[in-house]
Amino acid sequence: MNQKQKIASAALALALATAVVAPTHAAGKEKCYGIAEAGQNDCGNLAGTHSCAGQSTVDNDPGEWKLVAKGTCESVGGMLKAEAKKRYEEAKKAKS
Amino acid sequence: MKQVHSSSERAQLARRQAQLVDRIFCLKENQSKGLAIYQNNLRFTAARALSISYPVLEKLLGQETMVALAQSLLQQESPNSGDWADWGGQLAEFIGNTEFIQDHPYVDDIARLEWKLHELGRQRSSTLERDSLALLESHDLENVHIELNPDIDIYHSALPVDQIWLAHDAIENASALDETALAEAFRQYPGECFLLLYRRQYKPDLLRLNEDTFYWFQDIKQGLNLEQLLDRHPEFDFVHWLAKAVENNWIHRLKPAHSL
Repeated sequence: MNQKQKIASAALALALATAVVAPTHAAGKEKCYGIAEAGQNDCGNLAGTHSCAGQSTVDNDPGEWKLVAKGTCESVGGMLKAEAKKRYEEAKKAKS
Repeated sequence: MKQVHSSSERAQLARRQAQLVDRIFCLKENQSKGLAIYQNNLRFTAARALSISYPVLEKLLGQETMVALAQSLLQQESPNSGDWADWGGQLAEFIGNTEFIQDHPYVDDIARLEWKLHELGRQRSSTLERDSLALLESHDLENVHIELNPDIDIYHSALPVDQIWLAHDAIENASALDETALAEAFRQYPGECFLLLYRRQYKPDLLRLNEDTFYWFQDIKQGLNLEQLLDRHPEFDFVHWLAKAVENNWIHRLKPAHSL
């Protein structure tokens, strides 16, 4: 086994013993719809009219979301994705 | 409401709509009052899009300057999708070609940094394919490549723009800037900066790298295999870097050469 292969084996051993501590999607968090102030949303909305953080234009838009601690969404007046999606579809139907 | 039936009517309507859009986007003064309303709406929507994509730049330059920049940039770069978040990528280049840059040499670098952060914030996220690590033992290193996560990027500037960005990112507006803290940061981190841009809980963030690690990342992005990487960076601590990359979700997978 050459030197580089030894380095690779050592890297493998250490990497396998390493836990992922910083996933992009934070453990213990959930998307909470309808609580983001204008310009304070965390990512793309349900309507698909924008695709990034800070692009919402209306306070508490039910299609916009922010990350909150898991289990706290409804207590701050928000909706989880399933309910938000249902309401969005209903509103869309009512308009058409 | 009048219904449009014939294809010629539809074509005529499409032409008129296209003409209206052209007249709105030409942004010439002395247009009719009705057209001016659409044009002002366009100007301020564009300025708002810029201020969202470039939040620190707005704090540095102020809202009025962003409106002026948005108007000038609109003449050069028209939006090509319905999502304003896609528009504004040429701002750094635009600023770099103005006289403004002579007195504020860091501004275009801040803009370039912010656009990268903005793009990175919109990337899909992925997690490590842990089984792929086994390639380190099952394959020759010349056949192993490292694939970084799509929400990872690197950035280099000849100026310590990371300190300017961090100082302004943390405050509501420029008047709240702690100039003493910023001066101390400049004293501590003079000269060029080498950065890793990544996403933490959906929010783009940055991390200062040493020069060796920056070029290691750059060579990965350029597609060098692991054998080439280790040859080119003989002093690099790959063992601990890989563990850190796994821990921080920087890499998506190791992949064999034939899957490229």
